[in-house]
Amino acid sequence: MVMNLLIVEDQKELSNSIISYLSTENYTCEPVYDYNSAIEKIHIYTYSCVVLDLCLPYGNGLDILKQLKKEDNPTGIVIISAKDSIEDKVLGLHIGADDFLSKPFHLSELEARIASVIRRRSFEGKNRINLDNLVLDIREKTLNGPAGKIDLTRMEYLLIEYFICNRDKVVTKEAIGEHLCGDDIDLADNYDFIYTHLKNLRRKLKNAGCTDLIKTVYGMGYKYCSATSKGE
Amino acid sequence: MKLFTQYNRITLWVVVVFFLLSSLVYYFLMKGLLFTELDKSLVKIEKRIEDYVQVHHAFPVEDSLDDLRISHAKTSQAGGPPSFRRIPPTQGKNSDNIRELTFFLQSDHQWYRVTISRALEGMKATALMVMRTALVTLFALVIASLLVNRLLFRRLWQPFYASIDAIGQFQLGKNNLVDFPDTRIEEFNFMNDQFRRMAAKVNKEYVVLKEFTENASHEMQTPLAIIRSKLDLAIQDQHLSAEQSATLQSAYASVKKLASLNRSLLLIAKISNDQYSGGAVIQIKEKLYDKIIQFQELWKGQLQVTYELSDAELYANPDLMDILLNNLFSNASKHNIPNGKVMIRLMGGTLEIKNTGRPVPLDESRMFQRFYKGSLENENNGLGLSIVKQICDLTGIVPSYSSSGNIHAFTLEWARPDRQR
Repeated sequence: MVMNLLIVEDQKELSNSIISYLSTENYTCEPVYDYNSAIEKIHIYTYSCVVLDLCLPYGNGLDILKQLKKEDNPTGIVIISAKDSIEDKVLGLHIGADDFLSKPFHLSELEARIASVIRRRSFEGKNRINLDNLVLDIREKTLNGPAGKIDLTRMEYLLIEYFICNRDKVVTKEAIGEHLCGDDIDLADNYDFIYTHLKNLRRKLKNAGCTDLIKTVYGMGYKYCSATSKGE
Repeated sequence: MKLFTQYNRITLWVVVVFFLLSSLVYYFLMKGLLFTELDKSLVKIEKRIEDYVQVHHAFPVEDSLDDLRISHAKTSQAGGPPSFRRIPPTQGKNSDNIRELTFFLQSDHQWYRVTISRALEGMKATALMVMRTALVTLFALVIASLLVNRLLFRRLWQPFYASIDAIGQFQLGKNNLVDFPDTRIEEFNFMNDQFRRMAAKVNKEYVVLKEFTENASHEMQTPLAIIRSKLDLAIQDQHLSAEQSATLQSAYASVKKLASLNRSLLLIAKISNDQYSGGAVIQIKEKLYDKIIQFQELWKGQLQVTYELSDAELYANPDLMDILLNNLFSNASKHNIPNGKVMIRLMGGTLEIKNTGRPVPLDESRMFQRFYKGSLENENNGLGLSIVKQICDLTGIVPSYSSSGNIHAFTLEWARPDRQR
């Protein structure tokens, strides 16, 4: 099932990047660049998720958020904002945004957040991802292989979830590092810990009878190459 | 030296000189006056002698009891107009100045030269009196001025000290305008006015500067987001050569550095902008425990984390406390060695975070400064510890650092929450 995303971001360059990163077989993205067209769009169509910048021409993103919430719209909302002050974050989440991402973010992180928001908002088994003999249960935070449940630590689970959300894309060590420990911990250039967790994850997957689909992209990061997706 | 002492010194000297001069002038004026009076009396006597000679054709008999001496001698002709002469006192203690009037007188066609002399009495007594009076007055004046000044000093200068106190309590960036008390004294009011104007101006400039930092950092977020997103897209290309990959990777790392630098600057601007006001009593043990668990999870197999926690409370802004702990924990891991250790101890009002690292101690005098980097190969932006310091200052925590061998220890100390505020 293809999800519709509305990208409300006045910076065209950023909007273009988001769209070309997200536009795969899973998503279709529609960009709007100002407040008025955003309001217009949300009144006509229903989206799975709205990516919302707060500083917009002709209006404030928070008002769009309020509008969506007033109409009891089931749309998931991810705020992307240059203003990452705590108050903005708290206010945004209080009004009803599902997630808040401060700029500059990794596109892979945005995709993971969007995927998570959409699954959280949908019911009836949609919180499970079936891929290459693996079943990832987002709600239960578990992974099942062909031979049953694979016991993962929290870090390993976060890793595989991140890879699956960003399947067939190169995700950088920086993005993974930030995803695992949150924005607040500054890791400098020390990413050794990713390697340790990844090694354990790979071993567990192998023991569970899965082929190793996580490829190392030299110098960059990693890529989960899904066997079932096209072009691989 | 106090202004008062300096002022007194000058005025006392002026007063002393002035008094000596005025006593001198007084003395001479007195003397002149006495001489004039004496001369007048001598002129009167001259008239009386002339009258007497006119009537009796003889000179009056000299009264030896009187201090007046009259002598006459015949001369061939008139010697001119009457003339006064002063005869200095002869030897001896009680001799006085003598004033002498010489005039010529004709009686029975005979010219006489008549001399009247009289001692000027009381000159010494007058001089002494003038001196005594001057000294006593001078002494009294000095004492009085000292006393009055001392007593008045505090009262008069009280507004000055109040203003100075107010200036001392002035804190840059705190938006409370300094309270300079109004006084009846024009100079102090003028000074207070200037102080007030200065404080307002300084505050305004400071706010402008801080807003600039914050706005500049904000404005940088969007271009950074664009660069990062473009790089995220570029690395998806499957046909990248090794060189291209390396180039992109290096650009990526720099964007990351820039982003973290920008975040730190923004955070510093926000902290100094008081955007993290409001605090609560935090159970620091639980907070630390959560962090340690997260940390252990993250560094599983890489770093050994040991801890010893007892209950402790701290009054602080919870968000700031989070940032503070994150920074210290990040530091403890960033500057660690492979298979190193992190030791955390919480006891009462003391938190100690120790980690293994390079056996080179940090420069304690500069470590909390912005952009301090312990070594050349340090890849950090050098703002972490300055943020720690800023949060500590705001919260009333005293941070300190010590090292021995390859163990580096950061210690935070704080008072109990009820005393902290």
